[in-house]
Amino acid sequence: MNDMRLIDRAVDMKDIKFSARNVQVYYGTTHAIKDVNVDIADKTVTAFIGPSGCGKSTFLRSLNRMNDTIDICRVEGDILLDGEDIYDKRVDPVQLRAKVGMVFQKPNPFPKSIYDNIAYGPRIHGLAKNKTDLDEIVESSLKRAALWNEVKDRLDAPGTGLSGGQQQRLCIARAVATQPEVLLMDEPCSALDPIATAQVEELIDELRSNFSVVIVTHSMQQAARVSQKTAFFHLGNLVEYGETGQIFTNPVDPRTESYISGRIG
Amino acid sequence: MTDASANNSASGKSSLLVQDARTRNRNAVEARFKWYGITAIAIGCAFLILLVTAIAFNGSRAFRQTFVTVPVTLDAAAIEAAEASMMKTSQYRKMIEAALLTEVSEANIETDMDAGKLGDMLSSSAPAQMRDFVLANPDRIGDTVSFDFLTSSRVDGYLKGRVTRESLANDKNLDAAHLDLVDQMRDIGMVEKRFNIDFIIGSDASEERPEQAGMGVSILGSLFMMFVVLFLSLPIGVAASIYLEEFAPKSRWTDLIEVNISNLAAVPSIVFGILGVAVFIQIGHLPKSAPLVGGLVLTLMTLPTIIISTRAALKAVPPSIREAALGVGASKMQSVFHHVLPLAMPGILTGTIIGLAQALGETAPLLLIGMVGFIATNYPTGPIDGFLSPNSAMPAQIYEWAKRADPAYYERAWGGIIILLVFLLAMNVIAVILRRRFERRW
Amino acid sequence: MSDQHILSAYDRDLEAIQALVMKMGGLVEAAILDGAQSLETRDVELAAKVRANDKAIDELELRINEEAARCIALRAPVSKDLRTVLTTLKLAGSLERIGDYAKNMAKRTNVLVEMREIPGPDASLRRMAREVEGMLRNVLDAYIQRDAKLAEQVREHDHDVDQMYNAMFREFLTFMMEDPRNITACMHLHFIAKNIERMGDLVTNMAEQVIYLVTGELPEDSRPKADSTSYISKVD
Repeated sequence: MNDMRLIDRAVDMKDIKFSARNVQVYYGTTHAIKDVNVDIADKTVTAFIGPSGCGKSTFLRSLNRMNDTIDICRVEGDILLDGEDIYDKRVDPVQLRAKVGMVFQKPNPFPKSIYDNIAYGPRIHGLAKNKTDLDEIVESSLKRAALWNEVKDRLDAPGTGLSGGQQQRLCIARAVATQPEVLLMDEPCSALDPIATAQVEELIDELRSNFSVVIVTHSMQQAARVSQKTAFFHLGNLVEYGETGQIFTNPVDPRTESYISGRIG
Repeated sequence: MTDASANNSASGKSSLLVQDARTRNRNAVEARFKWYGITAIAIGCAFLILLVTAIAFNGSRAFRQTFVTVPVTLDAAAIEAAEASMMKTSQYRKMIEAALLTEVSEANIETDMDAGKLGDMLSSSAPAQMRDFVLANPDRIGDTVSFDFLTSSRVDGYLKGRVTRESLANDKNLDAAHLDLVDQMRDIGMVEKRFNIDFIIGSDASEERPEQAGMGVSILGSLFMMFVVLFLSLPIGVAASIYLEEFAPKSRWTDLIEVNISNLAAVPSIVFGILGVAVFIQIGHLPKSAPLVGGLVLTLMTLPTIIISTRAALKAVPPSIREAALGVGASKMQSVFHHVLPLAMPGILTGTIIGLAQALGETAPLLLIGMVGFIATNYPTGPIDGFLSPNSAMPAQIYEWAKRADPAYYERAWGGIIILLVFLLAMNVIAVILRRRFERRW
Repeated sequence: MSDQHILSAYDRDLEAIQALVMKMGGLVEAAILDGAQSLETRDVELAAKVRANDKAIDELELRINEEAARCIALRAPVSKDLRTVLTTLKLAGSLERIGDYAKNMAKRTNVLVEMREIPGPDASLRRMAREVEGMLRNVLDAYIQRDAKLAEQVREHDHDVDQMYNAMFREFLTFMMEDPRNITACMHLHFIAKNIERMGDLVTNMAEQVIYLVTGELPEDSRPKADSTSYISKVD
């Protein structure tokens, strides 16, 4: 273990990107998220773990207001992005989502060419002045997603024709292309084989130098591998939040202990 | 269950190579079920084959019509006299009858009929046909021109086996003598059955002239209606479904609307017809029997079909595509129009074309708004006239022919059905092609 | 929180490894006692038995290493389970070393049989060995019962062993100065005493490991040390 890795652990020193205070999320009458307080650091990978239905995905989706598309979903409390309340009436969720990109569980490239998949976001947000600009964005995004070398000769091929792992990296490249500040990932590797998973994890670790990454995962080992901070959700509560190594070697809360060590909780 | 386990424990281990009673029974049931299915399909196929052969057999006759070839000398003086007289066509008729008599006698066919009696063999359209030719080609006056005149429907019927000497006994139009003559004329090739393009492109004819009746004008009527249906129901239907499927909040109101749309699809078409009469004709004062009104009524009828199929197509687009678009910061509208709609397009187009095909074959509402009867007689003079002047439509025309007394019309109704089916088939082929063209995997 | 894993085979694996450690601990305890007894009674046969038993201890250590490696590879233990496996490895290592010291004690018995007897130290050595054996027993109890308090007591007990060693060191110096013919025997006896003192240190290490297992943290303050022989220059 070299010194660089050890420095990485000093995550508490970093700036706070997202700050959630007393966040409640309701689905109709169901209280899905209860009183969550959490500070998500910039340029850090934060993992949300917890059993199914614990609310980790719900909380993730409330960070870029993807929950808005569900009629019965209601969010209370404050979620601040760089100190601004994202649930303020003046905030347009479309603008927010350009800043807070999202990658989903199943790779979901548009049924268009690889190029168009990447170029779509920059086009609708007017990030490129001309074709050359756009080409550059596509190339740099694909390079950042470590996909460029595999697809540079077939940018016109349909994105759906790639392998699962490539598709997911394409989706990450697509999210990166809109130049977000935060990247939310909802179980990005659950549909991938171990090699593709490793590639995506490596990618996540690289993205950390530019973005704040929040990842929801069912695989605790994945959380352990890629994240610097881990939050454990249980029954809608944020049970424990701390440095990943500490969570995995010596958690404070017995519920965390039970969950990560696979005990009957 | 208990039997089986008892058996097993009694005989120790059971062998996989020997089927036990339960398995045999199960396999037998499965085999029986397969046979039921095959039988059902066979019955369906048998009916279909019966239907198609009946249509093909009865209908194909309508496309062939009996013509008689008569060389007529276009005598300038006679034509001038005819044009000057009050009854122009009867003068032309006399010329034709004379020419026919000459032709018959020159062919060494003995007959004691005079020219007028002989002329009964001809269709009443013959003089008009000749006059049209003369007016169109004045320079040919003085020449001898060989005309192919339609024979009367009796002669045609005789050659097609519909008319016999016995059936002519009570017929004042034609005698058995005529038929003898026809036999001889056929032998020398003066009379023969030929493909009759006028059946497809011609206009409807009166009760007494079935040999002249054609589908052309009513096909145009149908096409004008389809224009109205397509340009109204496609945008309205697609807009309604996109709103309901993608934008509308799920509330009691939208539920109510959804249920009503589904119910509307099941409303009998005649109800739409009476609605059309009440709303468009009595209140809206739109012209009666006009394809515009027919199109409006059929639009109402087609809308639920299009909405339902469009919504199904939109539903079939995986939600992950919408999420992906929202995830990169597209607005709801952008996600729908950039991603969802293109993916749903094949389904929407298929639904629309099926809806149009349904509308094309619809008869009942057209009967109510008066698009039936002896009205498809003239080609419209222009697009506006096409929408507004009274016209019939293919199915209404078929219905009209079917209810006329002359058995010659019965044959034409079958023929009309063939034309209608060709159109429907063509639309379905287009639907399949469009679906293939637009279909993309995701 | 239940102590059971959802995967019961995981529980069985962990239990099996810990049982191996306990078995190894029992063998080592016996080796200490037998070694000390063989020394006191100059019982060469018993000494031979101790040396033979050390092979079994070494084999057990290998087995524990293998099982622990298997468990890490197959179960990817985290948190408490990870600490259990890591502790097991460390305990097995320490026990093996203690076993080696006990064997060494038995080896020297064979030599001492030939020497003239020195009155006194034999009994002290045996007491010291008993003391260490008691500490080891307590550590193993603390380990199996996840009892950090007991482990802490053992850790403090090392002080007594060190004191005993200090006393014997001086005693040997005196014997050797009295009569140079005693030197060979005293050198051997001193090594034995030093080995027993080392056993005490290892047992203390084990106690600390048990504390880490239970609390997740190694005790921070330096261990109470009483071995002051490094500073002794002459007999007072």
